[in-house]
Amino acid sequence: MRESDHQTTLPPGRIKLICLVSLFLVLVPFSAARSGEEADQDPDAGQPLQEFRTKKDAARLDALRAGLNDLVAGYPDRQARSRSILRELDDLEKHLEKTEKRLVRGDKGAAAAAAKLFGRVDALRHKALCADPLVSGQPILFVVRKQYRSDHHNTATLFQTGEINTGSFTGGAALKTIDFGKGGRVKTLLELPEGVIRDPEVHFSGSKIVFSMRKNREDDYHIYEINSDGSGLRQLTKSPGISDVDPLYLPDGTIVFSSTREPKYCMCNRHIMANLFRMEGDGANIRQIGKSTLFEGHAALLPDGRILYDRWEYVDRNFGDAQGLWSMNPDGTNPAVYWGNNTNSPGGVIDGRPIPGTQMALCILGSCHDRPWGALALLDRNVGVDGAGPVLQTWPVGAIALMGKGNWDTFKQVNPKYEDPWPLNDRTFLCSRMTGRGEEMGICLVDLHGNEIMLHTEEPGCYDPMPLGPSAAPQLIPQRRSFSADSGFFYVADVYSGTNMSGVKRGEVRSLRVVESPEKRFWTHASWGGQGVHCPAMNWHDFNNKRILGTVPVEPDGSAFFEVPAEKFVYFQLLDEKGMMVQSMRSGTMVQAGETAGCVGCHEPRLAAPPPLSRKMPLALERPPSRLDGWYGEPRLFNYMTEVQPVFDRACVQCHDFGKEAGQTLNLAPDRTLTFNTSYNELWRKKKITVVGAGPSRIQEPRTWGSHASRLVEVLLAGHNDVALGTEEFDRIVTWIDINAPFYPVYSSAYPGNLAGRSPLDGNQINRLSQLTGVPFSKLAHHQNNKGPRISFDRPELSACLVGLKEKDAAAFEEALAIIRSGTLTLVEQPRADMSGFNACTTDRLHQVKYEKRQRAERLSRDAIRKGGKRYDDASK
Amino acid sequence: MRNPMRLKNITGVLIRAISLLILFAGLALSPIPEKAAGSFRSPLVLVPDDDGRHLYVAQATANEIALFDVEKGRVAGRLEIPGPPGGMALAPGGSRLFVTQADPDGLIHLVDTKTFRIEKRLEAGHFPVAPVVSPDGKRLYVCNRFDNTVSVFDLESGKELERLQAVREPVAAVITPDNKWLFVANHLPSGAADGAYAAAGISFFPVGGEGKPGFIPLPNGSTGLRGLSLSHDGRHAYATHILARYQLPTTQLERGWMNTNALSVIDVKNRSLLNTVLLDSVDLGAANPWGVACTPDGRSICVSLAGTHEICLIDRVKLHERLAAAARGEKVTSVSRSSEDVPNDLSFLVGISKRIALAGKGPRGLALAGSRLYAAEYYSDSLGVVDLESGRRKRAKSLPLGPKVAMMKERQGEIFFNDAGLCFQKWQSCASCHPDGRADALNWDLLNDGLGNPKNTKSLLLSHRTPPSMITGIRDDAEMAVRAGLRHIQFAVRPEAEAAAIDAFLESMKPVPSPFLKGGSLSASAERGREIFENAGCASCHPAPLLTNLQKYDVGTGRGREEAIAFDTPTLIEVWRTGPWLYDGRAATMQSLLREHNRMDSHGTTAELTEEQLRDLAEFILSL
Repeated sequence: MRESDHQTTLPPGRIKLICLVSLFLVLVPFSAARSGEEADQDPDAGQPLQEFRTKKDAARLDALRAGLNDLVAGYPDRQARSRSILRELDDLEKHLEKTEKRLVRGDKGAAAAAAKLFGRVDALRHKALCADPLVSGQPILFVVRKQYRSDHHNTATLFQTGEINTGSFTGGAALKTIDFGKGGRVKTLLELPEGVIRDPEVHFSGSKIVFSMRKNREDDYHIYEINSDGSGLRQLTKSPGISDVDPLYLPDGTIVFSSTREPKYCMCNRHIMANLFRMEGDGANIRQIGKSTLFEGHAALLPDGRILYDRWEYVDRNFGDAQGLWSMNPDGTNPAVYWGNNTNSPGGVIDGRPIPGTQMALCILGSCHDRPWGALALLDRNVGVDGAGPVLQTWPVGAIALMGKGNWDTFKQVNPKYEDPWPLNDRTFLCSRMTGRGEEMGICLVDLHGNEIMLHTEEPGCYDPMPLGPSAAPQLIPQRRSFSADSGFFYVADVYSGTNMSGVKRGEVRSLRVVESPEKRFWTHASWGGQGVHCPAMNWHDFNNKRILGTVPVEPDGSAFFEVPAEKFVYFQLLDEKGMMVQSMRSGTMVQAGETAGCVGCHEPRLAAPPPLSRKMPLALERPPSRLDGWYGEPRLFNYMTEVQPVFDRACVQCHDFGKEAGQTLNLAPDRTLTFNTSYNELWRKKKITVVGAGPSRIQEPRTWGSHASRLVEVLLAGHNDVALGTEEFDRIVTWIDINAPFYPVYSSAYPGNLAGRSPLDGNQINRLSQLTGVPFSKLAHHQNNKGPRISFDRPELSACLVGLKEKDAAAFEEALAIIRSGTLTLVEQPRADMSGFNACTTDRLHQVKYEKRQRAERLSRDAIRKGGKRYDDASK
Repeated sequence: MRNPMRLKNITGVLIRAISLLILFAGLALSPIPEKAAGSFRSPLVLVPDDDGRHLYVAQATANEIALFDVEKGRVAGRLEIPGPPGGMALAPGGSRLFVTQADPDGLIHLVDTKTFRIEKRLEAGHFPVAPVVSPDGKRLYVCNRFDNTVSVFDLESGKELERLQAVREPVAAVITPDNKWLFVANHLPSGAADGAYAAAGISFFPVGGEGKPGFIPLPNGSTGLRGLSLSHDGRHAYATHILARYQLPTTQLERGWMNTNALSVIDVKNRSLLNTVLLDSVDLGAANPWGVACTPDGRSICVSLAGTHEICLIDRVKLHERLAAAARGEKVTSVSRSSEDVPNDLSFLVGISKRIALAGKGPRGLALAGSRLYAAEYYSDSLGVVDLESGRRKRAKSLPLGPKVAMMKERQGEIFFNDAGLCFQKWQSCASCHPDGRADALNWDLLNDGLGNPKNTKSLLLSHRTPPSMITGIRDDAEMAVRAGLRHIQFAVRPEAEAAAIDAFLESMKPVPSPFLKGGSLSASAERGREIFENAGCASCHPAPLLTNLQKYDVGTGRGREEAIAFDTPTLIEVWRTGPWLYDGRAATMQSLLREHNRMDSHGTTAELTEEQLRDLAEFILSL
């Protein structure tokens, strides 16, 4: 602990500079409309007058006055001080008026006087805003550190040891307080020359702080606690090789935080992801409460006791805009969308913080491919759960115009950028904001009147400002989950009741399919160009592998009631009498063990109460819950080659094959290609199937994708020559299409270094094959560039890349054929992930070992909870 | 099947039952001196005098009308009433105040406002409340809450001219300015609760001659009606109530999964429901709306939220614009694109309403005096006041009605029982399903006995003396049930002291003597029914004094998955008030319970009874 009196409040000169810079940064880029008002100025007054008026407008004296009036009304016992500042403001305004008159007269000395006056305005604004006891009534806690190094996504700030971006970790940080009630005195609670301190949170008592700390590059982020005076530092989590960040005190003394304890990766790249976990106040009994497949961060407490967090996950949709604010109960039950899940821009929706005494929240609207910063936004979710409507205001003001525009990275253009929102009350908010010096951030104060000042800056940057004092604890929500069951229940009151069910007639929906979208535990350097990069290749366009858990009946009144294994990230699809998909969820949910979760319908309006039903209760509830029955066998990961291709083999390939006329139109041969297989490539590339892939953020209308929209199914239903498919065969095809036409069952790879992580041919072989055949195979590893199956490993001599080669260059033909044949042999010796006998590569196996180790630790924690004991992190490597 | 109704000692039980009735009759003759319980005031109804300079304040537990000086902000006079004042109305001109005494005596006190003394008394029905005077000052209408009737008095002669038949527990009334129609809010749904629709509604009566009386049903799940107010122009009436989503299991409260809180808008000219809007917002309930008042300029509707201690101020003009737009099929909010969407739209009032926190607790009656809105803060013995013209950030003040009284555990428990602040997101309080500690007449699918088997809400009267709790007896006693209710129905972890106080409140509840008693005694029919009660075996399981033997029986009522289930025997004390009956509320009338729902004679031997005997038996049971 260290006190530094010299680093007290900013020197007046610096305040002026920062305030001016602040106001210009904020107002000038978006003040085009204002400058238009200058048309009425005296044309003879010249440049100084024009500048004066622009500056006077920008100075927002009205905002300053409104803020002071708030102070007078809000703190009757401090009225004398507030009124004295108001008098100073009156005086300043008079002087400004006089100066303006002098400028109109062309008085040469007036410009210098004006500059001084604006300096006084800035100083007065600083004085006025700091007079608010919310700002100066207790010290403000903050973190000093560098901005995280630029990486890939806004979630990539962990730089965890042993991961792809470990090298980006940059140390040098401190946990400090600044006390504006004591002239801006800065006190250092903890300093870390080589490490990073982040994400502090003050206990309701005001007496201690929980935060995340990594001592150096070799260390990882663990959760620590320290007393508010800087004494008593203690480490709460200790597991090496994982990152624990964003801790949050709950009213019962437990702590929620984000952690990579379930080691898994973003499906569109190679970065470690995190979920929400919860532990006792002393670090015991750490258990996972969030189970979405990518990232869950920035937990905050809603006034009702729920957790507000940002969540990034995508099922059958694109990666870039699939981040939004969600809520869940502290035991992980009832995950529910809060705002922004189906909003296409911004791509980054981060760090939601409820505003005291309101039902609004602040958050950061940023970009997918950026640091976790962007525009500061005021949200009112009473207006809606998506889109621009609920965004009442942004800082900078112009950012609001970007809502819904462009794509997931549009908000990169916001300048200056904000982070770490912290509402002090319903009008005044702390945050960090760019100072104007590169990426340096400072502690900023904004209010709804239009005031904005930089409260404090210091190198290399200030983050996470929040009052270091007591606060009211929200109400405690009782635990609804069990630690002794392994499943929960869902009921749907009426599947027809939803926002996107137009054209679906009552009675058409016969069943509901439950599909799991499992997490990605492995990655390769090599990639396939789907929507975003798949590393390794998974499907033509979207990212997910799938596991069908079963299909349950939907009653005539639209109700369903079924049991689901706990903590599986699942989604639901509605099926008609033919088993064809009518509507699909394109997000995920889960139940905790012992939880019964209810839905009104499918894509139900989230601002609506459950509508009345046509009968006394949902029909499905009159019987026991349906059990998930798998799909032609036990639930398993969906493998195109074993689930679908055999149908084509039996019924189609005799005509739709290499060398057959019908095969020219559509080749449904099973032959494996470099990345997938022939029929899969043909069906996707030739658009014989219409699926949503990694589709847009908006909710799709019924039957607009899937089997109902696919040419292949249309042909089959209309009758195609004498093809006679059995019921199961037909169902296998439509089900595959309806679960978005996946190919690989797993994210693990046998050939991590080869093309798309799937080719049995290595880089040298591919290059040589390209030279021999003239086919640029590497460039074809992308759904847009792909020119169709060029290689058949099943029947190498039929490979399209060889056509005409023998005649042109027999030696080249023979060499090329030999390379392909060697690939065939490699597939036999080392089967690929779509083949039986597949074994994952060593890297993947190590990842799996780590995954299982973490799962074991999770189980032991839960055992301890069940037995009323305590289990702590194992700190050994 | 074993018949548990065999009675060995008929005489003994009979004597006990009679002594109980005598005890009740005694209570009826001299109302419970609530003042003795600490002289809490409990302001319930507010009426401004003609010039708006004073408010008359009916103080329910002080048996007193206070005269509140608006300018001075304090009580200027007090008038003692022999019983709890339940309602007030001022005659045109303001010279006379009518005060109903909310107890079985049915007295109406005519107070001379100049002398502030009672000058005359009229006799109405059982538990008179909500008096209204016709605009010409000639008639007085009084809701006899537990008689389900409205007494019509000729004020010149002081004679009761007729009794209009309401539906169930009329608690609020308004008369149109043209003196043609009387609208009456029925507190609870009537009819069986096991169908697809159960809701209370508004009765209307032609009081100016032409037209027929009728009933406006409110949306499915409407219950707990409390307030009714006319717009300044008499074109609309507004009713406050709970809109229960009782058809779904009680797995969560988010988004109003159980009780939402509503304002129904009545089209006066067509005597029909225009629509129902929710006062709640998506993450914050507006529990237990009670009083409603419209400003004379027609711009605002004010609603008191008794459960959240707030005033909800609605822009009336914009409300009607939105309702009209929804009716035209226009998109009004992200939820409402038609009139049908509106009653489920938690965002309908966004931007056109605001909630103002009161300093006091449990606001009920409202009154407007000039630009000020006054709220009767029932549980803090004070008046809340908000200046409606005080700009955007309105603040409320609380003005005491007298010296503070030391808090008692029972009172504190009653406060908790009515306070939605205990509940997750303030959607409901205990009182939402148990108004006045009794029942909302709806079925609920609680999770304590699995899903898909809704049960009719039980009254909590005597629950602590009649263990086990819940109709299935799944809770060993009421203490356990109170704590389970906080945890599983309010979804809250609350301090034990709150549950203990709620226990104390519930234990302190006293039965209200039946409206079926005549002058405190059994009617002739009930007397005959008493004998049948013994002979039919009813008294075997429903013995005095508690009228339950605290045992569980399969009386052949279980249906579907509940077949052959044994249910706890409920007390029959105050059973006149707790319909519909049987565990799933299937019996809308006592006679149907005894006949249609007892075909196998497993629930008493009633199959052989004549219609008249059946009527007598029902009359006796309903007199308990």
